[in-house]
Amino acid sequence: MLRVRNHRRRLVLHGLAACSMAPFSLAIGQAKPTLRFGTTPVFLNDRVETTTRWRQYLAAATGADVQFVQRGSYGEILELLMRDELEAAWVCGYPYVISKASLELLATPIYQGKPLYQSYIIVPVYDAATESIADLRGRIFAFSDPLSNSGYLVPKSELARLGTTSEVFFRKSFFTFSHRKVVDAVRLGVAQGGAVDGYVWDTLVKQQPESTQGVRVAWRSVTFGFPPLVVRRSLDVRFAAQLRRAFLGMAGTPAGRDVLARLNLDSFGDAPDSTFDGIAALVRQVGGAKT
Amino acid sequence: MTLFRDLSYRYRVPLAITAVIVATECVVTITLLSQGLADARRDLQAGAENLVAVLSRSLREPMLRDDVWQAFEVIRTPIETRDDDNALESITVADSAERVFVSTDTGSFPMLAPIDSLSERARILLSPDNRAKGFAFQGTRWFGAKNVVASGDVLSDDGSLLGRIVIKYDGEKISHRLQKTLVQLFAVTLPGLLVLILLGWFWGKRMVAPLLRLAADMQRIGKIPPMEIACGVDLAGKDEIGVLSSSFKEMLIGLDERDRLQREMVTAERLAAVGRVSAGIAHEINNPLGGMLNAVDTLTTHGSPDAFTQKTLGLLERGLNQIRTIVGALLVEARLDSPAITPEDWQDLQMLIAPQLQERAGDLSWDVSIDTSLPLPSHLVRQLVLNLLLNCVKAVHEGGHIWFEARLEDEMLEIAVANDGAPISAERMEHLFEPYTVSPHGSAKKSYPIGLWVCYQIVNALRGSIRVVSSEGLTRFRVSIPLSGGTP
Repeated sequence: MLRVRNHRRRLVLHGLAACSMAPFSLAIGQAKPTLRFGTTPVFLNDRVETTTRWRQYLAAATGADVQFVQRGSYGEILELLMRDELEAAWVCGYPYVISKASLELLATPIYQGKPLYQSYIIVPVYDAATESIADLRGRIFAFSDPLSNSGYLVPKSELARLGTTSEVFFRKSFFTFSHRKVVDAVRLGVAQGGAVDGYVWDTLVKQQPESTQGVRVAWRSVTFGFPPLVVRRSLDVRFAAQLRRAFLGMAGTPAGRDVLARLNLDSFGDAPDSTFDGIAALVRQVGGAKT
Repeated sequence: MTLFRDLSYRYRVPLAITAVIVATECVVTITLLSQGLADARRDLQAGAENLVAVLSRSLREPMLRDDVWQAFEVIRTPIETRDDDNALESITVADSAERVFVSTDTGSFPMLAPIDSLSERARILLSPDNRAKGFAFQGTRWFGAKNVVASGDVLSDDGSLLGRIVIKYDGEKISHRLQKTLVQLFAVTLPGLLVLILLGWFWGKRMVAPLLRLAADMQRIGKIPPMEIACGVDLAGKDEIGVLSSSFKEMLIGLDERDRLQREMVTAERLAAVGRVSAGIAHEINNPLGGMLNAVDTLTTHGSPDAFTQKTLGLLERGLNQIRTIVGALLVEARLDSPAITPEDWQDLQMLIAPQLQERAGDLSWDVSIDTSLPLPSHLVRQLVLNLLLNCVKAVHEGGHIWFEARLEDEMLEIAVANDGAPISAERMEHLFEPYTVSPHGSAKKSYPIGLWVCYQIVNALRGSIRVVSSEGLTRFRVSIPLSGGTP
């Protein structure tokens, strides 16, 4: 089913590519469409300078009135998408997988050459013994978001493999609703372990090393599909196509490259839907999700 | 105490001023400091109470939802946004089950740890027994406190207890800050204090200086003449020391006057004694002398002396006459029946003295402003003036100068005779008016005849006064005779 949908989308997009751009631009220019773009902490969305420049790039590339929308959790962004209050969003692979009926894959970030990332289990540096989540029994654990693949689904499935649940296994666990705050929780001693997005961690290490001091990566998961950019299915296909071109073309313009460098990404690519099969498998393993 | 009492005012006043300055400075500093301490404490307390109020409201929702991270986000904000001076150390939230709910100091207050399992210090802070609501200084010290703790309850809408916030402040930091303030305060006031002390010392010494001078002057009384001391007394100012100085000077002048009167009295008494002796002797001599002269005269007139006897009688008569002259000179008789002195008499005197002075190539300034007769015996006044002028002529050097002045003033005849010859020595001055005195004059002794004695006698007879002032370059006699002096 997934493959069929993907195929259909590709057909539409190819058809669009065959047409001339000018009439669309004109038509869109007349209406001045609005792009409400939801962001989640799958990246460092609290960096205003980065989001501002990205917004300016998108506005220039699409001619739309671009608004970036942030909410406290992945769930809220997903809900806005479902209610047609957002046109597009950068969400995690997990909500995409479970909401494919209403969401369509727009583009996938390319990180270190691939549309893939990992989930990390992080612990304080003084905890030299921990090598996996199995060593954290009875500790206090920080998840990022209940709809995060790397920050919740992956450790949850790991615990499921151990035949336990977070409620039983950990002394206490809590959500920080942000990967970055998971790092804070471990660094400041509120939690003795946490699950984070490997990409976010690596970016923090690269761009803000002080925020990761005293914390180390204890375990790395297998790779999963990188949190994708999605649009709601009800979005105008021409606009969606234009949007997609804008994202895919980012690496081709100086402004786009500047934003990509700030995001610590190579580019946005056209990864196949199968990229997220790994996440889908996890979803099946842990038995559904609360959306 | 005795030491201070014996201490000179030279040190005592500056020391007292310095002590007052230091005491004032101390009082001001202590006042400022205690005010500052009270302010700092009040600010800290107000800030802490405010923080507790804000946090207990903000923590209500997270605690109800058991949202540890949200609670942590609430309490981490004040910690992360504090500046370097802020003494805020940690914020801990305990839940109603007496466990640590969340803390910014996860080392001392691990999450979910029962309060009983915490370290001693941490347990005391969170212990329900020690539930000091509000604000408490613990281990208070002079500056600051060891532990400063503020606490408050987190209550739900219906007032049931959800947990408790305990905010710990770094007592060391507070103490350090206060000590810094103290050091700054001293750094600001100390130079001012030093300047004030120097000024006070200087001012004190200045104030005491006249007193010290007065004390030194008093100690010199009896060692040097009073007038010499009086010259150095400073009469500046009308303050107590000024009044004291002025009284002191008056006392010195009085002392000098007394000394002078004493000296004059001694002189007058001595002269009076001499006068009495010489008058007595003169009378005793005059009687036989008169008889002897009569006998010689009778023998010369009525006898028939031969040539040799004649010659001898002549010799006797001349000798006896000389004795009578000398005795007569000693015995100045106030024969007041003499004619009054006229302007012509003054002219005679000038004429009489002129040749004497010419011998010495001297110069005479003659100033007589009397153009009427005066009711004074002319022979006495003439003799007086002549004697004084002759005395002067004797005193002047070759080519010297003599001044003479006679005038009437307030029914007094004022006569002044001066010369620029050698001054009268102190030894001579002692016995100036005495007859036949001998006093050392350079290497030789000099005998003085009775000229000035006569002058003194005449002035005495006329109830006047005679004074002499002699200094280098000018010796001046002043005679004052009342015009009534000639009346018997």
